[in-house]
Amino acid sequence: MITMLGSQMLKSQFPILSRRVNDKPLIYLDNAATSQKPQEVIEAISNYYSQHNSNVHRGAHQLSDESTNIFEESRHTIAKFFVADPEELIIARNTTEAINGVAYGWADNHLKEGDVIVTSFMEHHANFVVWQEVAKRTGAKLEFIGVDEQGRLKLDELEDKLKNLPVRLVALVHVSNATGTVNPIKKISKLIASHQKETPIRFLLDGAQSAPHMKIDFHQLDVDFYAFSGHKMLAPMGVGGLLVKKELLESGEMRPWLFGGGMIFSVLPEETEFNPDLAERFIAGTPDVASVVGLAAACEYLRKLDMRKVEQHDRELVFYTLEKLTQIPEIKIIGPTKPKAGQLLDRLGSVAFLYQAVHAHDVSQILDSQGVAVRSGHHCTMPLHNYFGWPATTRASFSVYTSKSDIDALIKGLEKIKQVFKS
Amino acid sequence: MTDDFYREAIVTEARHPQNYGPLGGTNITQSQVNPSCGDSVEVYVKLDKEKKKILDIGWEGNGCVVSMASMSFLSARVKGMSLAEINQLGPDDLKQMLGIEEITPSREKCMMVGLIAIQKAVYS
Repeated sequence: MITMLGSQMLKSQFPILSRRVNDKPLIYLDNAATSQKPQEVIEAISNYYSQHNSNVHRGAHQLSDESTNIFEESRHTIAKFFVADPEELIIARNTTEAINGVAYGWADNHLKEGDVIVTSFMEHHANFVVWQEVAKRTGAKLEFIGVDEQGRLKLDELEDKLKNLPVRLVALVHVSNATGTVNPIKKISKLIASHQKETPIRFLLDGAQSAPHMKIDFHQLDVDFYAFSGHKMLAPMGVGGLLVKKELLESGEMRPWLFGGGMIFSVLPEETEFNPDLAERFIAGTPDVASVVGLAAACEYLRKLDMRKVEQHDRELVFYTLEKLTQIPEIKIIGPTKPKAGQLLDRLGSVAFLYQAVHAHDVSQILDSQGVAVRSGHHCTMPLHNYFGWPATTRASFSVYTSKSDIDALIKGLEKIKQVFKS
Repeated sequence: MTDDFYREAIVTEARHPQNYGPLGGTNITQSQVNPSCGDSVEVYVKLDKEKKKILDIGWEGNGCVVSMASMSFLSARVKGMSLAEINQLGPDDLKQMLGIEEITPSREKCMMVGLIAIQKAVYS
């Protein structure tokens, strides 16, 4: 029996959800772009600034000690939420910055001409453009895996590349922000493991859309890098993280990519020794402590809800939305709609669609006039949109406070499109 | 404001656009896209002998109501206009053609895609 979270009760904990838009109650279905923030997170940030603000790891005074403790506790809370060791967590601004961190801190130091990076046509630009740039800098070659009509990765293409090319990095999205596809990471990990050569193949996962919707166990996932954004999982904007397998940090294979204060052990004119503390080695300059505190509060909020229940809630919303949208003949749904035999539908977080003969921008604006906020465009997945020839799509995406009645409002909103485009 | 955009006049203009389709014997073709939402237009321009005036124009495109209606109204307006006059056109002229008073920053990009294409075409 699938259970839903008490979304109406949860809504009351997110102040912004009580405001009105275009004189209608706000129905916020743009969570894949960014989620709203609960009072607990807003208060944690405000409390940090009003009670504890001071620089961390620097002063020997009360406030500095408090701030350092809060920062460290927050890092521990965040790492624990992802079942990672605290040293495995590098704080970054967002997924994009975290992936750039792998590019500068790992790829630039290890890739050379002839090496191959494998990514896919399903990727967000954050996990695409970064590798185009690495390829330019290092001479490595970029290879792409295709996507089938149900929005699933063509794993035979991956296998083919692993078998025949000197692959050094596989960089894939965990849950697609455009198709909602949940990629089979264990299967991909095994595939990579069975093709490991003398020079190891590293595996990076873009977790921007998986972290908000499913339980992430970094150790169990068994990937080398996992990048995520806080703001999509109820935390403030400007904070996220990169999880890195400890052995890559201990061996020095993953190097710091930002240099300066805080990350050092000793600085001499001729040479600098980096901080032996694995966590501090990656904190150059004063960190955004308040945002890290906010991210920890969001992790706590989600932990109390239980991420397994969050995932069930999301699955129920996906099913409900698919069921309702398939009844509208003008709509073509993007991404998986049919589960593979004996499996749950491999889809989470969002449902994007095309509306026959009406541009996505018009769909979203007509919905907006009724208080329903959705996203339209290419969702930072231009290669995917070009691959399938979609000019733009409309996407409804969910969070813990999304209810079936929000989906009903979306469906009702879509009825107006027919009235406007009757000619 | 949304209701302004989706007035029958604008929707009808976008669905039954003027000067739509490629034009033979043109001097210039120019394409322009609005990457934020995927609107795209291609314009075909025929100039007079002195290359100072637009004699005729055709266009094709794909996009939202605002971009298509704006391009359609504009294509009718620029016929016979001098290149100097075309260069003077701006967002306010397009708003007037569409019959709207305000536009959000994101929709302004849609509205402008056609004008940018024409201005690029005649000054290329």
